[in-house]
Amino acid sequence: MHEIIIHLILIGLIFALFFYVTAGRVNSKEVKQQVVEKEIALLIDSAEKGMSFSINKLNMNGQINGFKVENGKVFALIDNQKISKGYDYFSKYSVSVDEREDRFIVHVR
Amino acid sequence: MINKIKLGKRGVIGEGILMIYRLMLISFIALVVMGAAAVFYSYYVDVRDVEARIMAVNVVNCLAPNGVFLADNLNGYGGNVLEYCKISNSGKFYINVSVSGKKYEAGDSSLLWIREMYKNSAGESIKKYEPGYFSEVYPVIVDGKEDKLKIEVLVNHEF
Repeated sequence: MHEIIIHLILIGLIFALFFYVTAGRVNSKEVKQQVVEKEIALLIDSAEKGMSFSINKLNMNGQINGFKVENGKVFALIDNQKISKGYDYFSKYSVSVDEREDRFIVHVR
Repeated sequence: MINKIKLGKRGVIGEGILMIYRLMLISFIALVVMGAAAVFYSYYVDVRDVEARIMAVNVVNCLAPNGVFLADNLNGYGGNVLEYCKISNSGKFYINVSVSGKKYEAGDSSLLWIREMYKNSAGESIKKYEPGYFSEVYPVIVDGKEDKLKIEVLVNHEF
């Protein structure tokens, strides 16, 4: 009896993990994340020194719940995503991000 | 009695082995379905041509501010345009600048023949590996004379 219960729990865990990963693909969160990261990387690349721009947290691509610029990469987390590979930008200027209540402000200095 | 206990232990071990086998089978099926979902639902947003255009504009603005090409400054950097312009090269760019019969370049030149290969023939399935490309000729002033600056930028894939 115990074996069956353990068996069912393990199968349940495997399928929960499976549905979690598949749901991420099917609801296109990853594509939206790609769009946001690449759009912002291109904005940074084409920005001149001293420019700033803001990104609303409630975006047409979803709710941006995490955003940072680190080691020459842009990272955005959409609709409670947990991980991001990030996307490279090549601007020669220093880039920083300020978080406000409803938006993120990117400064190119 | 002793025989029965021994048989029970074997049975438990056998059940354990069978369970591992079943779990492996279920994991395999889950992985296959996940792989299929990954193939059908993934989509690649290609911005490499735009990146190439932005890079070209940045490099030209750096090499020829206000349209005046400053060749002497560039020679101190061994002709490496990215180093001169202080643009970090993540390894995915190739830049080739030709002006007044001189050539300055930076990055991986193998992207040129990869692009040639794609120009000749490429199936749709490998199209996403084709480098992004931008080329343009700008009028510049070199040593007080009018001249042309040709820039070619190639951007490698990110996979």
